[in-house]
Amino acid sequence: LSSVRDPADVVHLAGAVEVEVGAPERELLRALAGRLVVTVGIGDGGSAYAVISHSGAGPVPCVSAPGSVDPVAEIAPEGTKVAMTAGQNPPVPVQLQLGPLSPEALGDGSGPAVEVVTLVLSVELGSDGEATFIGQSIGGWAL
Amino acid sequence: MRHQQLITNLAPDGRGFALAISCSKQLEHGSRATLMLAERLFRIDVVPALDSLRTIVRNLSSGELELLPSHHTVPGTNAASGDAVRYEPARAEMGFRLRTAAETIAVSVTIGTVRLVEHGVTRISAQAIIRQLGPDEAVPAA
Repeated sequence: LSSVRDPADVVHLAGAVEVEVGAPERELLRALAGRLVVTVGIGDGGSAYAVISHSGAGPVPCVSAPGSVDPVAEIAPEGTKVAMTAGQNPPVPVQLQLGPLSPEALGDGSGPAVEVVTLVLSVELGSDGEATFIGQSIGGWAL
Repeated sequence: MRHQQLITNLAPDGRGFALAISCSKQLEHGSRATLMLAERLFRIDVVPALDSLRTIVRNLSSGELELLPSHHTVPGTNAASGDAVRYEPARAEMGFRLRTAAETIAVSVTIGTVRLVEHGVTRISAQAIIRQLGPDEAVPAA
């Protein structure tokens, strides 16, 4: 991110990390100047998941589409776990739309409002026990 | 390929309806598919190539389609974290409006892409903000 003048201006952020089964969760995306964070992990049973957390005071509404095991209706500040499907080629991403967001929803309300954030997350299992997560975040302050 | 997208109603801003559409498609280079559909308003098709992304806006409304110059589109930038550089992330913006005598529909679209080379596909994700304005209301600067 060194070339970005202001991280809050990022309207498309892409992230990719590799995680091994049973290893600690890793951060995939840190969007909206750090106010929205996505970490990912692989459980001991090989199930992939993402944990989405934010800096707002309460849960924010969310809708989701295939790629997640269960529908996601809201994202809690402390983190909401999203189970992800794996094993398809190419991987089928989970799509999440967070919003509508009030100016206070993801921070202290001091900055311009973000109305909606789109997250697209996928996971691909490798042959030697690691998983590659790829994520995209779309939406920034400048809406 | 079945088309799926997410739609959320936004605060109408006192002028008319407002909504957000999110979607994502994975396409082989050279193939054309619908990326986004706003019923009775517009459809956006995309054709990814090795070095570019072609977008086609289909006007489904009774109004006149007017593509907006770049200064009306969302400012900002594109960034990669972790190992994402290998997926060549890129971003594009487009803005347009649909005008009739009674109303103007303003549309701002952000498109983000990553290339999954090992699968021979490009993942194209997009978010659109759609607002209904009055007939002579200026499109708000992004």
